[in-house]
Amino acid sequence: MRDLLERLRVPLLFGLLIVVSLVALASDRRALRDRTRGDGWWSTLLLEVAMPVQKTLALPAELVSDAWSRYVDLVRLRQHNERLEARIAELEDENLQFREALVAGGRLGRIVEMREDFAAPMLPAEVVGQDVSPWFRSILLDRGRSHEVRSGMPVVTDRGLAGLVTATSPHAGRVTLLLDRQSAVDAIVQRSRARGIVHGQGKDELEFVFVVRGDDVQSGDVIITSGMGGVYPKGLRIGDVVAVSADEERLVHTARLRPAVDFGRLEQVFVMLRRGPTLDLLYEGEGDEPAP
Amino acid sequence: MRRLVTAWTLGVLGLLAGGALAGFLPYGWCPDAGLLLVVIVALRAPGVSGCLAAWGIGWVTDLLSGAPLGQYASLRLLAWATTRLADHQLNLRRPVLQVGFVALLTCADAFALAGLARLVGQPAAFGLPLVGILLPHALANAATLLVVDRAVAWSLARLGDREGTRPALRLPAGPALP
Repeated sequence: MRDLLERLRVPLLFGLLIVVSLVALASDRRALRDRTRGDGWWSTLLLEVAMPVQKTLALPAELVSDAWSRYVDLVRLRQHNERLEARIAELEDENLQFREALVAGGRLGRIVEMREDFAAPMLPAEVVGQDVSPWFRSILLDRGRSHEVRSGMPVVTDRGLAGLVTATSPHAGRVTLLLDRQSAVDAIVQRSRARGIVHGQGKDELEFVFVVRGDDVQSGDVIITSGMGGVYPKGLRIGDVVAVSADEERLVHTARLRPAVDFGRLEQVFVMLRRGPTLDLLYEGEGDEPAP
Repeated sequence: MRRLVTAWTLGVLGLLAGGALAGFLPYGWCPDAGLLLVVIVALRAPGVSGCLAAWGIGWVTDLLSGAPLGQYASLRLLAWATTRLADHQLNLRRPVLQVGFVALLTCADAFALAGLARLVGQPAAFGLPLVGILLPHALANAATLLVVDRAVAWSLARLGDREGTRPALRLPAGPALP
């Protein structure tokens, strides 16, 4: 009998515990239904113990979860930041374009005035290159013969005269700037009408050679084209007198000019689609068709 | 007695840890530490101490959860008995079998809980809502069983219970005695 009990003790214990559990379950359900169930001391004690233990156990998980949330937030923040930076770049680009449009608008306004003054069509052209040699001062335009650009046509900006078209191809044109040593423009002083020739010096200054007739050229005077020779129309601004040579014994004096056009920042110019009769004759024999 | 107390203490700690973790995991994905410990206890302590430990773990589960007293106590005892039976029939010493068994046991436990609840007139979930929770729960239990098993073995070894760190030894049946 003892051996039998020893062999069956686990099944017996199992059965007993199951019965106890089911009885407890039934009585607890009845107590719950009758609302007579109270919290036993064991339950209270267990909950009291469970709360701080569970809180402590939750702490690492909370820390990990918090760190993960922060990491995710950081990643999102980075993505958001990247989006915002891209947006800023986009807006800056847009702003730049607006500014450019504003500047171009101002230029165009002045060019329109010039066009009305000189009664000549103006063809806008982009400066696409500078002279490859340091000894010459010329620029390359993106307009050529296919755009009705011919050698001998004056090139201007909203500030004044820039140079003369001296060579063309179907889609490009070379402009010899006023600064070039080969350049010479018949000019007058706007205030006193004293006449002379403006020469390029190969540097960022011009030289005005004039015949002295009293004290009629002063520093600050504006020099404009005279219109003589038929190359440039009359009245195009060339530059301002910076200094006049003081050698009274010479008949011919010179003055240093600051060009009206900032040649260092040339981006866009306008080709005046007109050519004087002198240049028509000059270029006609060299295969360059006359201007329309 | 020492093994009983150890198993029960581990069970309580496991339940508390599960409760703490549940808040950070999606619903259903938190492993049932009580059930896992009962399975491990059944595999490592097949005798009276294991039976009592499973029952104790069930009682603590009842007290810590909103279940009526005795519900989990009965279920954990049933889980312990089922594991013992399965181990006897299938030899659950291989980890793959253990994992598969725990997944099935989790499903069976859920259906048993629902059935028991119906029996005592308590509302219980059946059908799709139960399956929706049950599948991730079974997966979570299966995935964590071996980790919990190693943790229990490590704890028992630290407490000096050399016997408990090894699964219960099964001797092959010899030839019939004359």
